[in-house]
Amino acid sequence: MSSTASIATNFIAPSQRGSVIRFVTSYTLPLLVAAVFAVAAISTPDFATFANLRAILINTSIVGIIAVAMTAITISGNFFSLGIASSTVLAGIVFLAVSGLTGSALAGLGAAVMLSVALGILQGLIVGAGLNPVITTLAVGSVIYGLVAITTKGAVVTAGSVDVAWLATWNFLEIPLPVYIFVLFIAVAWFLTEHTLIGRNIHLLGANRATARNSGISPRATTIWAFIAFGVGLGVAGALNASQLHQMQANDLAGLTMDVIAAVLVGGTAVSGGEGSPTRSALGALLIVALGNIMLLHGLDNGWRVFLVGGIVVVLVVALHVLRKVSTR
Amino acid sequence: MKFPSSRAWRKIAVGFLAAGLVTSTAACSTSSSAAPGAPAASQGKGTGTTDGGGALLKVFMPSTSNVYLAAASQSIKDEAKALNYTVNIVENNWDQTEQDQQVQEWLATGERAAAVLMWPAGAAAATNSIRLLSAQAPVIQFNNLVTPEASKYVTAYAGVSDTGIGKEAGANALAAVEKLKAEGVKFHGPDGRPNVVEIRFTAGYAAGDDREKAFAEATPGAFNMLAVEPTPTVDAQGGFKAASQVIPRFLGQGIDIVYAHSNDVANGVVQALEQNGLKPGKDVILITGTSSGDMTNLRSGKIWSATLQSPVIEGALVVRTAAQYIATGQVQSGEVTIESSSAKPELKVEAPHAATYMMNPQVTAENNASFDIWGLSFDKLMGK
Repeated sequence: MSSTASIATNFIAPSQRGSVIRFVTSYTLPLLVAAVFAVAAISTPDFATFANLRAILINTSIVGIIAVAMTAITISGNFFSLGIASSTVLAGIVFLAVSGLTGSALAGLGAAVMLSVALGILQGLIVGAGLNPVITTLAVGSVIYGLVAITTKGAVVTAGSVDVAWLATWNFLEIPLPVYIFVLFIAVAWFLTEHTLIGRNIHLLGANRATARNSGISPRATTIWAFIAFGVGLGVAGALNASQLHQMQANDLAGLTMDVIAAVLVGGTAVSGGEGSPTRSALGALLIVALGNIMLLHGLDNGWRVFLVGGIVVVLVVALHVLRKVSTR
Repeated sequence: MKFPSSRAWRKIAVGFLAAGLVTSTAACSTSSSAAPGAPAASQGKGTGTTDGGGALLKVFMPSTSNVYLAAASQSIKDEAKALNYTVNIVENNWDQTEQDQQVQEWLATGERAAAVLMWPAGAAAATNSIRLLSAQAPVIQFNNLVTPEASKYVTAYAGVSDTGIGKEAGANALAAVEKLKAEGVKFHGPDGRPNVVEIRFTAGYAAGDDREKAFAEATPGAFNMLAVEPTPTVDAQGGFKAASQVIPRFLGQGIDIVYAHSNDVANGVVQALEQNGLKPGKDVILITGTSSGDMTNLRSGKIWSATLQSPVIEGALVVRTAAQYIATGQVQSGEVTIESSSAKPELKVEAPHAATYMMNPQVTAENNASFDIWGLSFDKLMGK
């Protein structure tokens, strides 16, 4: 009797432990973000002001949109895109050029999104055919950078006299449009990833490619869908960035790729795929910006801020990885 | 009659061989300096003319995917053509390691140049490449100031002065304050001094260090410096990122002046100021360094002033400096800043200075349309 109970206990215990760890893995980041904001509000002068919180949201929005969009690629087991910066610059330049030609920022936005989606489909086709996603996106990024540099000859591209700034400056309750677009993006990405067939296919493909294929899921089609989502994000982010600054040039956004990857990793998306959430990627982006902001308000030098934010990112990514490993044992 | 012994014959033979070796080495040396494209000038011995006679100027510089570099590169080609030099430009993607490799590869080809024009991708790490190049041809460095370590290998410097830009920006800021004081404007800092936020180039970037230091030295005690915030990248996006975080922090204290290290960076600052409810040009004076990037904000008055840094002048200046050195084989000690003249100065056969800097006049909404330096408008000076 006792031995049976013991066996039962031993059988159940890992499952319960796994549930606890899964709970911790899922809610660590939201809790951490909430804790960081609460502690900072109490301990950091000027942190909880409307202007400062708005600045954090504005700074998070563009990186956040791309991070949310790229999460599908990572979940599907295709790692990351290393062509983020050049693709976003291209989208921004197309946005400005088409806006300038047509006199409409919306036409520019549409063109930027369409081109980014087309490039997404192209990359999805290549990666879906089995080529290494890191090499593919890096190569496509280099080609895009080269083409932009050749075409623009390094010149600053603007929309001329056409007003494109409203896309970044229009506001409701003094919160500018990019922040609302970011929130909308999170909601749509969350719904598509968690509550649709395509979303489930993306998860399954990343978790176990062979099983996914045996279950009738097309790796190529699923990968293309992930890259389409990414293309939409790049197009929107490029247009918002260009409208924010009214200009774009080939060498812009040098640090964007690493910012986006850091946000996705801090969000806890498994690099190997199968697990992750666009909501958590958005929180990852928010956390990184908030930490930098708190250190800035405390008067830490830039070097210390970069060092500490980098250190925290490493600790978080390692902790989430370990928790995930333990929960799957 | 006594013939020399066999040992003595050996000595004589060795002596002839040694003499032959010395002679042939000297002959090689002579023929190489006479070869086409070979260094035409050695210290103290010049060609006596600024006409290059088709000799080669080898240029190592970062990528022309940036409008400034594209314009500087074109200006180098134009000036070289005018002085009858051949130009060959090797670009790198802002990567000193890549540039080092390019230098090694070029040296291995054995090609000879009359001079090497060097824009180091990262001046602090370029010393070895400059040393290797200097053994082959005189090195004229441009855009990045010469480091103390590299100074013994660089023949002369010609180009931008970050110190000059910082000084000019400081003078522009002081002039703006005086003008506004005369109009009755009150500033927010202690003792009525303006509160200033500086958005500087990326931390560790030497140009940013020089501009920050020169601005401070040009405005001793005139301002209450609230913060010096580096941009993550040296562009409008970097300016926006830095300013959008730092401006909310000081909204309560009141910001009177923002000093940004370039107009491009300042374009991002304009957006950040507006998103925080401030009107650049009215609530906040925006003083900037390099006149790079889109000029719409400067022309509309949102940016108070910039400082001219013309890639066209810089490209021409480095070629002219090389031509003067080749002509004279000498360098004058000291440094000089060239004047802003409407006519392009005639190039004389005289030794260049160890450092020749470009002029850095103020650029404003009012004067940019009437610019006339070397017969060029502001847009032409910026390579547009």
